[in-house]
Amino acid sequence: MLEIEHISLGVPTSAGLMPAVSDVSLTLKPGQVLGLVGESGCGKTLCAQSILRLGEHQGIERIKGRILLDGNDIFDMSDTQLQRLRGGRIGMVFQEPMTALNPVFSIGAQIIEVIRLHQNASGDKVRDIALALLGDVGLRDAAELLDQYPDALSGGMRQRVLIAMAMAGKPDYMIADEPTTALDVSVQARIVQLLRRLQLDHGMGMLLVTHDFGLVAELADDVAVMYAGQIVELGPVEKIFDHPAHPYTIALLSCRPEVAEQGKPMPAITGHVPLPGQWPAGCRFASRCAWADSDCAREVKEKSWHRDSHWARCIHVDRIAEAATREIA
Amino acid sequence: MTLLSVQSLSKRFSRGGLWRTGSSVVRAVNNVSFELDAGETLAIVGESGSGKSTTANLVMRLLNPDDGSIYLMGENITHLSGKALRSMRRHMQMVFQDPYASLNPRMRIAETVGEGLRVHARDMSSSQRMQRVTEVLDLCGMYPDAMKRYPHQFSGGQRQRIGIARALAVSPRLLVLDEPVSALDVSVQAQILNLLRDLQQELGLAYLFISHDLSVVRQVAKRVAVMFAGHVVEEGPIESVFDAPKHPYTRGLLDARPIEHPGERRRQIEDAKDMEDVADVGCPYFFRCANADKDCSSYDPELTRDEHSVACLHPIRSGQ
Repeated sequence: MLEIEHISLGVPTSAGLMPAVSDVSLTLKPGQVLGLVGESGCGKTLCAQSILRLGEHQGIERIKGRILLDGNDIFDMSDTQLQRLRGGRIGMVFQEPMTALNPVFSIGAQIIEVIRLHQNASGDKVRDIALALLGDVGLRDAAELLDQYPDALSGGMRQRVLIAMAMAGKPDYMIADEPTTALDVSVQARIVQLLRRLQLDHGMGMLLVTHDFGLVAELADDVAVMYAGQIVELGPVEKIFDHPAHPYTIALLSCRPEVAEQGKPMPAITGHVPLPGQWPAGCRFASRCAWADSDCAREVKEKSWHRDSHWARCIHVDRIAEAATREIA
Repeated sequence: MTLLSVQSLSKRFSRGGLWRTGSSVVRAVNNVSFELDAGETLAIVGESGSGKSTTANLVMRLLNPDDGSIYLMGENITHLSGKALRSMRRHMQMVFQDPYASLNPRMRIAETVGEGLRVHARDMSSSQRMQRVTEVLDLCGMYPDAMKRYPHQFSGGQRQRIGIARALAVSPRLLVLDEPVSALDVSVQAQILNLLRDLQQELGLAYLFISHDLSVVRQVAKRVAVMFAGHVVEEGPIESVFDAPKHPYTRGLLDARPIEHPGERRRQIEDAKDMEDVADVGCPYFFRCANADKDCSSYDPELTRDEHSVACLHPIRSGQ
């Protein structure tokens, strides 16, 4: 199990460390996909990167909390242990397939480097593993591909190469941060299918960071909705789609162009996500929320509404659910 | 009334080869024709490399076409230059994808939005100009205090509002919108789409709406043209194209759309054909098409001329 426990993170500013993620707890289970959704600026990527302690060279710091991999805190690990962990037990795929590969090294050189680092292999065997990995992500003519440079590849092919590299360490967990965002629709669909197959075949636990509910619908078992540095709702994917509890989740789901009614104004969320440093006391969504009242300015506890494995951070959940039932009736 | 008419437009680029040795020619836009009525929206959809942005740039005369012609309000603008082109540009303005990159970071909003007026309405006094800037900012849901500020002080959605205000300042008839909401979060995307809808109703604007996102297109457009490899392969009323696509490429695009609900999960997409290949002769979609036969390899079908037109030898019949 990979457990994020009460993590708070700070980003460096001229005025010192500013909290950007507050008290986030998430659990990644083997063989399960957890979707982490929210608008840009909510802290999703910071959270995901903290699992591999990736933001540290940019001065991002843990304020509190632990990240446990099978009970061992990642923050206690040495640099060597971390290096083995990154791309080893925990693989990662990022958004920018155009920039994530080094343009001056061949595909072969880059994938072989990862294999050497994480697998006990040498010589021809490394090459065989590289060919198998490239084949496994649906790239044909893998042998030719090894000698090619990134600029000869399309966005979809690059993303496949990056996924192959992420698989090189035979990871138990995969962090996929907006893995299809920069790709064309038809390529997106194929990459989604590939991720699903790999995840199932290898029984990986996956953290899928995305702003795209379509991707979540397709891949996730559970969904965590993040807003202004906090998780505001967490639950099984069907529950989140059919009975979203938090007003933010409800609003996000209804402003998708796929489900908006044609010829009518689209439901939108007014305003924008408050930046770190501008978070209000009490509920951070209150200023954009149609349900907000004076009570919302009070401190809102985590899991202020809780049913089985589904919880939300909102004091008006029952009132909102009641209104929804009335609307249907 | 036809506001914009594009006839047999073509643009070629040469690619690769240092010093042009061994370079090849890419037909970025190939024999593209369409019409757009005043107050209407025509969407052009396609994937990257389909030529949709090149088409937008040709219409705006930011690129010069190799062949074909462009008529705006009945006037042939294909070969206009200098003063004549400037005076026609007043009627068509462009909104770009990236609200972070398309505003000059060193210019105050008032200058950015009023810049077009300096060119197109030279007899305006500066106070008249500022009055107009306030007006268009207000139309786009921005307060006048925005005028003194700089682009970095605004969020992505606000910057796109400013980009739209800038385009509207000179009272154009046509807006060419190149992926205007692709860089925005869904919540903000909806705000901007609503704004565009209101502006169209209020001002009678025509939109040429370039997008890769079929769901967005369905929300905004009356008609849609689907581009593939520089060709318009299908064009028609939005309902008809979405509900009964005739070209196999359109059908494939529609099938690849993200699902709406986890209950629909696990549809399979055939992963057979290499998505990179475009045929040089015959139908450009030949290599990827599941319905292709040998006629398709030699014959490049033209777009039919009817209400819902298609360029395919074996179009999908409804119910198929």
